[in-house]
Amino acid sequence: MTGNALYRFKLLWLRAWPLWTFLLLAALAAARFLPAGYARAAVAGPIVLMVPGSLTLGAVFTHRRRPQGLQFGCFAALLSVLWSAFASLALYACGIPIATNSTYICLLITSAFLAIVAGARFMFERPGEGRRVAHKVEPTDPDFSAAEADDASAPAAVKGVGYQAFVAAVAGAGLLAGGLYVYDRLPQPAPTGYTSMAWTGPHINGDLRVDSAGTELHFQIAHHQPGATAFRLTATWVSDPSRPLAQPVEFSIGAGRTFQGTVFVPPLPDGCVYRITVVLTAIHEMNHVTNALQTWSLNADVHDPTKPQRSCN
Amino acid sequence: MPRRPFACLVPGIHGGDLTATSYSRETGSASHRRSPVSRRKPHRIGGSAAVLLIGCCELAGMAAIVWSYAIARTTLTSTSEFGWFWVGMSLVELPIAGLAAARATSRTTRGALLLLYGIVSYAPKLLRDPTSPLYHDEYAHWRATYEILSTGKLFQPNPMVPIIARYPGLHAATAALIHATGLSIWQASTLLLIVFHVSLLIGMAALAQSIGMDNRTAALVAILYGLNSSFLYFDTQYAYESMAITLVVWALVAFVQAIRSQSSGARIAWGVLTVTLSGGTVITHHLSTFVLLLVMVLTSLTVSLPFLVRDGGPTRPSVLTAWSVTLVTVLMAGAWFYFVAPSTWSYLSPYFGKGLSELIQVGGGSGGSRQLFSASLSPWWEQYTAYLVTVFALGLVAGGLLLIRARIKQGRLPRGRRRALLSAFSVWGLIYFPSTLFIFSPDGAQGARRSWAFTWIGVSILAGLAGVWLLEWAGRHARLWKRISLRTGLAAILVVCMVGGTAAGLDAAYRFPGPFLYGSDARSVTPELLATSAWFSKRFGIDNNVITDRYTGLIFDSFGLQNVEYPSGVLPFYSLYLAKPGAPITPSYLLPDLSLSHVTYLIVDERMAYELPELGVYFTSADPASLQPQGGKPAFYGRLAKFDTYSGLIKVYQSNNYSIYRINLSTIATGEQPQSSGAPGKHLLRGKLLVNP
Repeated sequence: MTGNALYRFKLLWLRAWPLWTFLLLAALAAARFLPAGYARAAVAGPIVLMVPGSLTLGAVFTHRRRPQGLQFGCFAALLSVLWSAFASLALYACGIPIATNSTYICLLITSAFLAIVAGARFMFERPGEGRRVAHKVEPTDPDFSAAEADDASAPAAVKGVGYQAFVAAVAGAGLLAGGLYVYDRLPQPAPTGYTSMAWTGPHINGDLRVDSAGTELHFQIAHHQPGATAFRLTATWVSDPSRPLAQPVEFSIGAGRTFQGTVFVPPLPDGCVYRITVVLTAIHEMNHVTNALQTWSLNADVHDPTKPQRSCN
Repeated sequence: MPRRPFACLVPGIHGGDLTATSYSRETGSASHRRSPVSRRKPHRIGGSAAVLLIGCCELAGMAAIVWSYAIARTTLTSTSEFGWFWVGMSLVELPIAGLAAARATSRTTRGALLLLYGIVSYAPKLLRDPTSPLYHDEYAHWRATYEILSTGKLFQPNPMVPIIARYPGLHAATAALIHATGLSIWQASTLLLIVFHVSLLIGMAALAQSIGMDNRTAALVAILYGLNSSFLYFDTQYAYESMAITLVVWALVAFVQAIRSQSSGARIAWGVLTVTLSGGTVITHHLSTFVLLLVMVLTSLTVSLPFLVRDGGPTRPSVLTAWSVTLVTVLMAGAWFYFVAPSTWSYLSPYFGKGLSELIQVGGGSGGSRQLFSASLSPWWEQYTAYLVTVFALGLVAGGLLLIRARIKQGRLPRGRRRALLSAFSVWGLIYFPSTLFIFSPDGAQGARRSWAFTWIGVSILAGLAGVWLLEWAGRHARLWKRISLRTGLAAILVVCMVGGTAAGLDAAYRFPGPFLYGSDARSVTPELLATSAWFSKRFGIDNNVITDRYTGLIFDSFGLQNVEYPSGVLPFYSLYLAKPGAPITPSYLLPDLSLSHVTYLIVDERMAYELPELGVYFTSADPASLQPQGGKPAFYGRLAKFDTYSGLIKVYQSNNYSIYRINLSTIATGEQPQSSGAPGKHLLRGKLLVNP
């Protein structure tokens, strides 16, 4: 592209930037066809985070007074973020669910209004154009020296988004991404393993009914620890002393395996509520906190509602 | 040797100005005494050499920070991660700060350096939790955003921090970004936080410039602001204050510009911008709104006073603009507090009220003060630097005030908007020093820490003035070794403030990764807890009312989407944990009240019986004294196994450390047996056990 073409492009942009930026936001609808994630974020993120705010600044300020450079970028980003929050508030107030389409349309309407105002302001404020037209100088603030007024009206430490700012942003983002990449690939401690035991089947919300044929209760044992572990599984009637409900079972579970278990509860002699407990014990594994063998347990209350409760206390 | 007046030591002040711009302008005048440095032509730093040097330092610094985190996550006893971290941070930040503070650096370069500084200073937080929330409040805000995405409505109840439901600014903005980009909640929030963090730093420079400082001083003000205790970690967390503080700073930039503008068009434009940003603050964060109002009122007062006494000073339109914009903000805030967030005052007042009364008790000797760093994991040198920050800040602020005084005496800072604005921010900065006393109050400490990010705005403005003066003073020495020594000393002070400021803000467990640490918000999440919560949600669905401890509740409340009840004076369910086996549960209304609250599950972390929490609390920061350790053992020691025997409590899940009980409160009793005195053993009822892969 020649220098002349670049200049024409710049002129075209400057003459109608509110329109172009609004069209960018409108084109966001097409970005939804991109897969969700980084690709769409790279396209849509900068537009959503810059366009509504830029249009606000264009609508509020004249060309000469508009913040420049980094100050413009920060104001635009913050205002864009705020517009998205205000849009959600407006939707909520109107009773419209906050969703992708509604938020987008709300932002689009807001931006259209801002673009019209900015465009109108731009059209009515063009006494001349081109580089040779002298800027109308803002009256000097008598409290501030000339240098300070210049600094403050166009903040210098934050003025001028040149290539340096661009390089700084890219370098900073690269450093963050690089640091994260390296950190993610450095050796990490192995996550602490665990074993869990839980009832499966219908939810237990109270006493379980046991009919004349008995009933089966199902549970699962998930072993998320490295290596195989030997376990003993017991089932007992809770009493003083407790009595065995079933013959204990011993087995071994490998790393990352899940076993399904069943405890068969026989028919009950009466209508009383009895508590059963299923206990899993790791035969060779100590709990370092309690200094006892590591155990897991589940319990449930069972009763037969068809039988009399005379002997219950 | 007769002493020269303080102001005469500064060519800039002697000539009548505070800033380096004026310094160089005035030293150009032949009528002034010239210092050795003013005779030298300002040296231009070789561009490519400086870029190469900074690039190498940034890379090495980032490598050291990454290495420090890698050490921290694998070791428990080492403190070498602290050393590596601060070496890394110094390498990352000092060259940028040094170049930004150099007189020869151009405006655009300073802007770029601030941008780089803002981005790289986000690294510690990004590396700390790159993939999911980690800090206590982050879970609450994650849940609030999730609720908007899942229900399409604002103001959904938040069980963890109820007040945040009334301030949806951050959550609505995150949800909108997610709608547009398809990012996850955490990815979108990280993107927003980087924008806020960088904007905050640049906003401080813009604010300093808008009150009349040149770009060099403004850059230094921004860098000094970055030393406050919240900058690296607290204000980079996914929480409403991280967004709101940036809005506050930029609202103040617009407010000052509105006051300063000469034409009515500019005043209106800046006023509109101020109101928009203030409105954003109002819907985002309560404390930030109060601070913004305070600073606006203070500024309006200082701008009005000379006008009222008809002693020259600001013009009528400036005063009217200041008060009009302030009034609109007050009305917006008042309307929000009254109609949307009426619980704000009752939420905030205890922090200040109780803090103040505790402080008075401490001062009167009738109350015990909070012991600083009592359970901290920080090394001793970090703790010492935390005390030094206040000392250095005091020195720099005093220096800044003396410089202003010297200028006023010389008639170089006449009554007017600039003096009024500078006075307002100076007064605001001075509030930092009395607020540090609140750190000794158990209830006031939290509020004091949170206020520092705001008061440091004023502190850094004054300190920036003194900082530039010190740099010039150091540069005036003819001997190279002396200049280098003095500048090295200033760099050392900067590092001490950076280390101490951060250490004073957050505990090391929040700042560094590491092995599991019981009772620490940021290091108590394990794969076991995550799996337990995931199992629970899959099995029982979401929105169950559950009771549990603080650290388990973090995950069940957020990712688990359950409604975790937190104990209070009205519902002291910790008594359920505390009850001795076989003893009745007190108070007597507890179980009926739990029943009324429709609590259906009790989740118990069995480590409560064996370990003391790092944060010193099991449930909330208002845990009663009865939960304090007894004889070096937790209050729950030997008291958790009883849940297996309570009728009405059915154990439906157990992992290595967590047990989940279904509560049937209509039948709950505290006896050792359910409802039957024995098992049907005499009938030899035999069942069967089967296990299949």
